[in-house]
Amino acid sequence: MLRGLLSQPPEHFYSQAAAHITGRRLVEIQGCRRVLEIEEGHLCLDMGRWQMELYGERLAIRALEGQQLVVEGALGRAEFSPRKEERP
Amino acid sequence: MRWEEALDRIQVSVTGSQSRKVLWDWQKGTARLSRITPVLGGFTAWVARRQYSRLEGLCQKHDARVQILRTKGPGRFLAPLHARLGLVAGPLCFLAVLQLSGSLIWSVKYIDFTPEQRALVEEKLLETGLQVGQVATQEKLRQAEQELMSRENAFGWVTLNFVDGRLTAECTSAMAEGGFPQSNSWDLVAAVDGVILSQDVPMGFTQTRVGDTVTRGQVLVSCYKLDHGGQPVWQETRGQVVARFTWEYTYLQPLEMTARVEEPGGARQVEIWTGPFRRTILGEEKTGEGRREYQPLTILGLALPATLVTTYYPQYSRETFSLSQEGAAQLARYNCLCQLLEEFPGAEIQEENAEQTLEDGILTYRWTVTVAADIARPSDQPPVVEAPVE
Repeated sequence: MLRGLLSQPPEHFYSQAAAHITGRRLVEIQGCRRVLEIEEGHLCLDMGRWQMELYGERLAIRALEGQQLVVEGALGRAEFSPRKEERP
Repeated sequence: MRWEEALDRIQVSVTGSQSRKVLWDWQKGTARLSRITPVLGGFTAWVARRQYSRLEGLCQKHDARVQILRTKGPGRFLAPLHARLGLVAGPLCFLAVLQLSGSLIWSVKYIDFTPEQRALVEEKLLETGLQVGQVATQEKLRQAEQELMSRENAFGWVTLNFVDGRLTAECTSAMAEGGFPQSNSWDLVAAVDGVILSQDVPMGFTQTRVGDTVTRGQVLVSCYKLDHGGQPVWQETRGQVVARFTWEYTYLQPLEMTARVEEPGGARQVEIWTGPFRRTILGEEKTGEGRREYQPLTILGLALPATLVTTYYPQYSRETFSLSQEGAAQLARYNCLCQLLEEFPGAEIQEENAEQTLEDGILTYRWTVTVAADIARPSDQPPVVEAPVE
């Protein structure tokens, strides 16, 4: 039991990207490397090995600070996929 | 919200084919972009004013067009001040000086002083180092108070209060104790021959009555009285015995007299004293006798914690004056009058007669007056106790 308490989480646990979706209006994201696309109703975020695409209405980044950002708007759909090659 | 955003924020529009690369580079730092909203060909965002130059640099790097849409915060009001820092620095310096100079005397206020008392207090404050511009300490204030109170018959009490740069001096005049001189242990005797007009004797045993003619040295108020057993009962004596008498004085007044006269155009030195600092602004210090004048420094009526000290170095010359006989007589009468009042303070002249003779340039002025004045003086001899009559 003691061993379980003192054991460390998996490697790179704390540096992994994470997204917290609250209802359909707020998404808090940590570990976002880049904002790949920002268009009306569409956001594409580089999350390291994968990428996240958010679709909805009036989507906007409320705050962008380093690798943390907060997205708000009427969220319609979120898609996760392996990261594509960087577009020029 | 970060503090820098609370100060000033700018809404910018970033447009161009590479505008997303601006965001990529922005994410390499730790500064914040807020309310990033996609627009056609780019985005709009709010950025702290102090971070704007970085955003502008990134836009130039990626050929993106940046445009300021709105500003919020106090910056627009403070921007003019930024160009003229003196407008801010001036009041700040003034407040700092005001705070630091709180222990300096800015002004002195005198309450209930007669001109003579005020002159006395001003002189004492100067002696103690409590003039305008100097540091007021409780030790100095108490010392000045005690020294003023120790002056006989000058003040009933004196207080010096120092609050927020203002020194307030208050006093009450000494109450005259019935106008009598201090009591003494021996008899009061007559200073001159005369006729008694009135008596006011609160202590001692009166030996005369109103209307009595007394001679010089006669006991007016005795310091003892024999009881029924023939034993003396002692009491201190004090009182006034006003009598009418004739007083004569002769004064010799030369018609030619020399006097020291101040010549015009003497040198002077003007200094500003504040705290321990003394700065000469006009003239220079000279050796010799100087006369100082102290004046609080004010600008347009605003008191400052400094004193303007002007030292005059007058040059004197001795000049000989020739008096007319009439002028010499007036001067002689004045000197006679001074002598009378010195010997009999408060004397009232009832009749006056003067004789004058001029001989060898000297006016002999003989002044004879009939006056009413207090003639009681303490005897310089111990009383002789009379043996009781058998």
